[in-house]
Amino acid sequence: MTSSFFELSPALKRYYRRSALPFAAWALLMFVRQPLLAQSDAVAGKVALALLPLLALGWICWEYTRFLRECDELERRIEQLAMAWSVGTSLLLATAVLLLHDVDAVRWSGVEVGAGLLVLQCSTYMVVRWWLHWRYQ
Amino acid sequence: MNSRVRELREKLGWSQGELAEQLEVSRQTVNAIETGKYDPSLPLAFRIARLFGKSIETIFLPDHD
Repeated sequence: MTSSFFELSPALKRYYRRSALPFAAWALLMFVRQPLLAQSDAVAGKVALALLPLLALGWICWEYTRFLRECDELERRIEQLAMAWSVGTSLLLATAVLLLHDVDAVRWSGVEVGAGLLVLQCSTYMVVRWWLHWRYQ
Repeated sequence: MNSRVRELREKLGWSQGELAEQLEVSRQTVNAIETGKYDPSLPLAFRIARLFGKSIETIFLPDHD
């Protein structure tokens, strides 16, 4: 795996640079969301504020697909495999939770399941990506 | 698949980074092709062949030939 920013591929450097702003926007919107929601009374306003972070998330996804278009074929293969594994494991876990929920074996809230899935998805993506970079090094 | 990419690159005195730049791929990709860990796509194989002025079959060889 590459060890410093200067050894990263040009496409990955560009992606890191371009995605800094949407990630910052995402963090900011998540931070200001709750206080703004507390001040809003109208349902439409609450819905708009609740979904506001999705704009930043969409921006991040757009930058990522742009990166996928720009990177070379090996890098793209690594990214796609890492994404496939992370989505696959998340889907398995989500299905397991739903099935267990059906028989009252678990009583997790939507937020708990969502947070768990996010952590699982990100960690699987990072581990698979690291392993593939190491393999092709 | 075995390849003669390293041999041809070294003959021209190029580093992996220089070859990667000419092929518009990362140095990791060049290294993975040279060590046989990654088989390039047909378009990339053609670019490599064109760059070295050789045919694909003289650069890339099947494992059991």
